[in-house]
Amino acid sequence: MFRGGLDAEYMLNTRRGRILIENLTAYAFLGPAGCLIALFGLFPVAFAFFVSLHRWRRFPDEYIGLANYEKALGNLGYILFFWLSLLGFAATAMMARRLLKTLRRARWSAEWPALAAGAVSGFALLLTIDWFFKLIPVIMLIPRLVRGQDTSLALFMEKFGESFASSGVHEAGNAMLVGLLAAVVSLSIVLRRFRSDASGELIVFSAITTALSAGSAYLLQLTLQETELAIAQAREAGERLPVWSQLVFISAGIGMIAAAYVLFQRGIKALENRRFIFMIFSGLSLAVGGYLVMAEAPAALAAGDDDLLQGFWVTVMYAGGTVPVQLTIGLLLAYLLFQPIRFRAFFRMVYFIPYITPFVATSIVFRVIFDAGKTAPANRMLTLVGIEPQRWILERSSLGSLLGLPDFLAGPALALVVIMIYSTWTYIGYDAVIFLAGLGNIPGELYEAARIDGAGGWRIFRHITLPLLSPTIFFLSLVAIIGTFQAFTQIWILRTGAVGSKVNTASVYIFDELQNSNRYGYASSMAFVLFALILLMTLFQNRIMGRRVFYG
Amino acid sequence: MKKILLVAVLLLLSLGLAQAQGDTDYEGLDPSGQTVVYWHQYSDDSTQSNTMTALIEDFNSSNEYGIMVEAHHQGHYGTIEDLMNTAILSGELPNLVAGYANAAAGWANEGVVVDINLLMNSPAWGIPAEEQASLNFNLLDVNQLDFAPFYGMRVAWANQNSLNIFYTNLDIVEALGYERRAPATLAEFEEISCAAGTSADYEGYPLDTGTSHFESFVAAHGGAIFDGEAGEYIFESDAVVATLEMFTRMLENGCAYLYAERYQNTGDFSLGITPFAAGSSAGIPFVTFDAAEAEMTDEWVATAFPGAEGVGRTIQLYVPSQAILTGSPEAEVATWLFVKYLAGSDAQLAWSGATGYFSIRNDIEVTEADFTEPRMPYARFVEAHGILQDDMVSVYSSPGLPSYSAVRGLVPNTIAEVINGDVGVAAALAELNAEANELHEELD
Amino acid sequence: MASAEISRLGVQKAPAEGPPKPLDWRRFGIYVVLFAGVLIAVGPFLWMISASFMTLSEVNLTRLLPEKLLWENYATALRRANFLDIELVSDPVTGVLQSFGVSGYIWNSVRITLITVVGSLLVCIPAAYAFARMRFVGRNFLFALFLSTMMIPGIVMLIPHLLTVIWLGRLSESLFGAAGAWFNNWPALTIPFFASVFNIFLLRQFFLQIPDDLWEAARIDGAGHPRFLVSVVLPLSKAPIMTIVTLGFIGSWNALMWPLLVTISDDWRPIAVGLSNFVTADTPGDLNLQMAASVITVIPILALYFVAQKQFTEGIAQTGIKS
Repeated sequence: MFRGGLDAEYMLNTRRGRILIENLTAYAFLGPAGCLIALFGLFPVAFAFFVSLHRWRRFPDEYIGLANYEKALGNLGYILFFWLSLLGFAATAMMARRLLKTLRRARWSAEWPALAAGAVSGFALLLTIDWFFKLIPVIMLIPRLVRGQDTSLALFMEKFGESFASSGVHEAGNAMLVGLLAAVVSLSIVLRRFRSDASGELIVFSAITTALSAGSAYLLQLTLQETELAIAQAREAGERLPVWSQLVFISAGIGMIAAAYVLFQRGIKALENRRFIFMIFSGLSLAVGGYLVMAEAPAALAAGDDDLLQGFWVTVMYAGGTVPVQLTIGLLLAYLLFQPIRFRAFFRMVYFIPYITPFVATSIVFRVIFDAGKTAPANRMLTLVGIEPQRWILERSSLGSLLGLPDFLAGPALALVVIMIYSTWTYIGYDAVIFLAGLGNIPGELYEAARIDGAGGWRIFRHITLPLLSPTIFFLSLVAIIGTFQAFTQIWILRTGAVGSKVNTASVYIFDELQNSNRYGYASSMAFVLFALILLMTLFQNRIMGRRVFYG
Repeated sequence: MKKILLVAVLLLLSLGLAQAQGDTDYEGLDPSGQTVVYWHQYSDDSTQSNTMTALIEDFNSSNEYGIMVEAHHQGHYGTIEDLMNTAILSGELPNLVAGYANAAAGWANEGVVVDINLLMNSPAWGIPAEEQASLNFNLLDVNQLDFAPFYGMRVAWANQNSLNIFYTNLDIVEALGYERRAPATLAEFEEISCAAGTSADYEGYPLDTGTSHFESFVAAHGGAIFDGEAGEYIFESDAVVATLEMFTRMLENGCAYLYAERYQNTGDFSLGITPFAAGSSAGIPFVTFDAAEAEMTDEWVATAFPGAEGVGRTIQLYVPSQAILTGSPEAEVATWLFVKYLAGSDAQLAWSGATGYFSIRNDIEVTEADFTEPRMPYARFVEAHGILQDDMVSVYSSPGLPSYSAVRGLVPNTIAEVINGDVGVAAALAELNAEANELHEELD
Repeated sequence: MASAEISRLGVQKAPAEGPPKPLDWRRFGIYVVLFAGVLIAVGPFLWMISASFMTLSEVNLTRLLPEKLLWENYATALRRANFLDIELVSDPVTGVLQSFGVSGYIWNSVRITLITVVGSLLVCIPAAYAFARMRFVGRNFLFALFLSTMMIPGIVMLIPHLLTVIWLGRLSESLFGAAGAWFNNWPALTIPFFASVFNIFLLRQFFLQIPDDLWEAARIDGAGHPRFLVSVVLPLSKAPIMTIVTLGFIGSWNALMWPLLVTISDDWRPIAVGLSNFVTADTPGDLNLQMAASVITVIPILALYFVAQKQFTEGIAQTGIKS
């Protein structure tokens, strides 16, 4: 039999063949989903990043580097990109480690072709991306070229065809073709001549490592260049731009806060007599780190966009005000439903109704309930218990300042509180149903055992129910936090002119910049920052909370 | 290499075509068989929509070129602007789209708007000079932009106009112990509002944080938000400061209240709760109808806005318009023919009579027989039309700048900040002015 | 055996207790809280229904109940916005039904939902199966990559999605003619939502719980992955599939911003956009009519929920179970 031939007998009867078939089937299964996700999930992020580096109003304009990020976040924009490129290098290092691990199992002399082929594929990927983003602006400009003509499909497609051959795109296209050809040739050589069990993994890892390291290097170079440029410009204007010192201090501060957390964790596990020392160092580290961040961050953010920062703050308040409340009430309802009661199915069904009805319909009712008029239901309730009617969805002032608290303690505007109530109302049923399922999965024997030991209701809840429910709590809080950070429609349809930007979450503010001011470049940069923030937060939550989850 | 050169030449050529587009020669074209896609904001089954449908049917069946107009209701102006963003991005534009001068200017900035002057003055297709004399160019010229980069381009064509007017409930005014008439000055207006707000039976003035309402009161203070000659927003000018101070004062003293739902102010007015309200003259049918339904029998009048000391009465002109978008020259001509049809005497008479909007022609008069809007008595129409023709009333209109769309979005927040006491008037307006002028520089 | 094990996961079993005592204050308290919850959950709906029958001034004064049921509010709302229009053309002589036409926002939403759900199942089931039950290079990396797209804020997607839809639509239009258009047609409204990461995640969770014995047995019978998926896994997966169907319905019914931007005529405009246009019309809209319109839009989704709620709640409960 010809070595490496792909005939049926070989495929079915050898282990290698079966693995290959399994891989091919899996990729065929993933194919449609993968293509769609690449197109509608990954491309938008890359595109947003690309747009954010330009001045771009509806149509592409000049390249302006990180200026949009500076406008959004001040110096922190540059610092953020340093972190991003470092993160990129860290990911590269992780990939490289896995690569080495796989390599250790195999013989280097037999595997170098696979590595090389992977690297070539990685480069081909980069060249493809390069070509793609040279092509996109040309295609985007086509609508401008066809103006004043009969804009038929044929005309668009003609221009579309031409754009592949336009200067710049053409050269990049050629480079890409050469790259792809080289990748195909090298891959087929490896698969035919040098194939081993590890080849597949090695090729993929090496390709990813190559692409990641090149991407990170590009980011770092971009950041360095832009920072130098900004500093030089500031110097020309006779000012000082302390990006470097801010980078060092803020990074150190965050590093120390992280260290404090690690020390704290160690301290909990440590022996009684050593715990004290850990705690002291943890506290010290937290204090110093906190001080550094507090001292430097405001200066670094000073040149940023106040509205965006307020948007982030509103988002945080919105998430902080809805997620815990929603989860607590949901859990409470689920717990009550879990008791031996009648009509359980009815309750479960009814609680779910708010979740399934469209925002546009229910928001109209909420606008009426929380109207500012004296006859509005919410105000009637207040009058019943002897409280002054409130302006609710028209109220810019916060609950706290209405109660006389100082500004920094005041919290969200009353209008935002209404939106929080609305959002909580919508999601409680969903949470309750999932909690109910989680409760149902806790083995009944545990409860019985606890009861025999004489544990009361609260102790059973605290020591059996909660820990065993932690995966559900984790899942729900993850979904809820991602949801609140992306929240848009609820706020968009419940906001009123009189509260102005006080209820604008980051998403809403970005949308305004996009649709009203048509600042695509700037809006994209802010959206990209928001994405980075959500991703970081999810990772963080995964690490912190994920560890505490008790998997039975 | 050759291929690249060829493409470069093609690209240059097509760019050249786009550049030369401004000088399109419309003479000798044949618009036969064109389809005109028209995006409008008239809600389904409203009087406006039904009348427009009838006019379109008439045009489609009567025009000699077999031009077909296809109308689509696209939601309110905001939705249309969102959709236009998409259309500009894709290049597949409608032929005619509803919008105010500032929106049309924004589209013109992207090069997708036809200069209607070229069509209007075209020997073959235009409106002859003698007929132009019977058009009301005071209105139509709101859409002619005389500043860079437009240089006299007519970016849109009005089909109608309405006014932001001032409603007064005479019975309430009298009940509060004042003379039975609309207030003559802003001071009087404020005083009566305060009396109403602090009385047991009535509410004060329903105050809107919207930009156009704000501008009406700036105009009543004898000012404007944009200085056309200096070419900049003047949010720090005296009239703007005085307006914002008045709003704050009225809210603080319980003379005014805020509301959430659109048109709730005229809604409350038609319930007989408030002595005053501000609203579009196009809303008169709704006020009349709602008042009848709520069995509100008080007598009320619609007038121009009371002015500050020495300013006199003012109104704000609303000129809802349509922009003709670039297509093939034949399509542009076909679209223009439809616009011209709408501007004709018969169509104007039918439109004005059915909707209560005012005509753009000087030579027609909507008689009681022509007036078919069922919810609004003819006398009200005459009353409102009288305000427009009153020479003593000064007229304000919003700046037709691309940046105005974005600035509109900023003003409510500033008002909200100030009336809530978060920021002082001067500081808030300074910030607004800076932001508005930044947008002006960037977008205009 | 397997199906018993799987259905057990979705069913809530309360801990057994003795017979309840005659007067149990604790249980009484529970009922009070639960019924208060019911009131809060459905109160807004009840008022929505009540207000939809009121006169304008009754709504403006926020009455609790109308004096008289104004059914014509519904007629007016249906006439003012194209929610649902059924056209029956029967032969004038014989009375035999000749043609049958349905149009309107509700019908559009139903069509959009059906296409989205079917497409999504076709795309997501194999992908979820691969992640759950197959070993291949880069599995974890790809799964993490897929999951990370869930964190992308919708706002990032707006413009790139528009571009993609515009140009893919033109490509497909030049291949398939006008019917292949994406813009203002079903593809723009459905295809971007086929590959739902949440659906993949949900199905994967479920597929992971299918016992390995079944796969071993199937393999001995000579079945490969595709056959195992179709003949064993799918029949067991009614609950998650029902969940996806219902979540798909909710999603399509709620979709506002994207459909607003990609539909320019009533041919495919879905319900939320129709309702939103009705509510935010440039002329004063009447609150009682808005309520009637809202009730009209809510009825179909509620009806579906009442029919499917058992499987649905069981299925959705799966989403929270540990991986």
